[in-house]
Amino acid sequence: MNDPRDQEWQDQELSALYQAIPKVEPPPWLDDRILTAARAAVAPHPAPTIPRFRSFRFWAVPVALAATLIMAVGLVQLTRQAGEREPSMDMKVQSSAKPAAEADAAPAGRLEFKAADRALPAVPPASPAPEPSTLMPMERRKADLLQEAPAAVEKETTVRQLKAERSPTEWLAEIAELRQQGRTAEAEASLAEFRRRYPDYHQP
Amino acid sequence: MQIDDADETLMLRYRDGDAGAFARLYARHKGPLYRYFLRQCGQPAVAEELFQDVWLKLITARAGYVPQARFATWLYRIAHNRLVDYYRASQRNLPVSYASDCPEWAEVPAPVEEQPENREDRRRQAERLLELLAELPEAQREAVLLKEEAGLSLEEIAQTTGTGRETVKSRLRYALARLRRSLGGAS
Repeated sequence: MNDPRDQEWQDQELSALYQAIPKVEPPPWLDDRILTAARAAVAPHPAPTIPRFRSFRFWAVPVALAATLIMAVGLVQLTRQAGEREPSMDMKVQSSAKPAAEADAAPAGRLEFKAADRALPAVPPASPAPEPSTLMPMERRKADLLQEAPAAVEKETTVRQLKAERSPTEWLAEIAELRQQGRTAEAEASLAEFRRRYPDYHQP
Repeated sequence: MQIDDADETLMLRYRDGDAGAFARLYARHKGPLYRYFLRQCGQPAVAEELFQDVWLKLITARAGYVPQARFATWLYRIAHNRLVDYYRASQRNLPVSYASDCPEWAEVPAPVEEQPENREDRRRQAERLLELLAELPEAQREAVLLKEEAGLSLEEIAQTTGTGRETVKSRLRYALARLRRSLGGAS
């Protein structure tokens, strides 16, 4: 620095005077903020915290969409099942009488159900007994009972007719036989019936 | 300054996760950098914002730090760029004094100042110098601050401000001449 031209751009006295200016420092709060940021930048982050937060943020939307889709599908299925179950018996009856063209034109069960509704009379006649294989279990049980009921009535009527055709002596002999067999209740019931039918008959 | 305590070594240690190294580096440079911004902008709030931005940028850029020059040169390069961005974002554009061939440097009239009544009052002189410094064109003032506060050489100031060595020398020459004149022939 012996070059005299250097004196043009550096001045030791001015430099010394400048260094005499009071040293202003940044405020402490700014120091704290920067040092905290510096420490945070190199500090090992607790692994579960941020990834879990990110994972939740990442999966929140897909999970919500999936849940909505599942609920929508479930509701559609429930609605469809309810719609199919209610008109099932009538639809089965009507479907056999429906033209093939109309059946082909009906793309879905709901349209088929509406067509069946239109075809039904206001007061439906007594419908024939449905085919058991086409019905739900409870309905099938009801149909079975309906099918079995006339036979039971017919059987009971036949017994009564047979009992009515017996002679009093034969009837009393049957009652005695029931008593001997220990079927006391049946014997008493049969005796009551006998007395109702032959109130004037005197037992020997 | 030992090699283990050099700015570049501390920055490398901070890059590798040593927060304590950053604290030492910060303590060493915070005052000069803060005064650099404060005297360039004249507003403490702006100086604080720019000061914080520079350190945060340094923290963010630590992973890619490679000591290719003095740490101070790198730090003040970031600071200079932030300052230029501030000038451009504020209502005024980049001061004309930053033009490398600014013709009016020599013609900028020095403020007519009274001689200090008491030349022995060094503190008052220093305060006067501070006032005069604030009246310098920004580019000249920055060259003085980088020399006096950051302790950068001509070449380092040129690297920091993105100008040539001769431009820096001219800025300093004009700045010092003006300061001397305004201080009443000090030096």
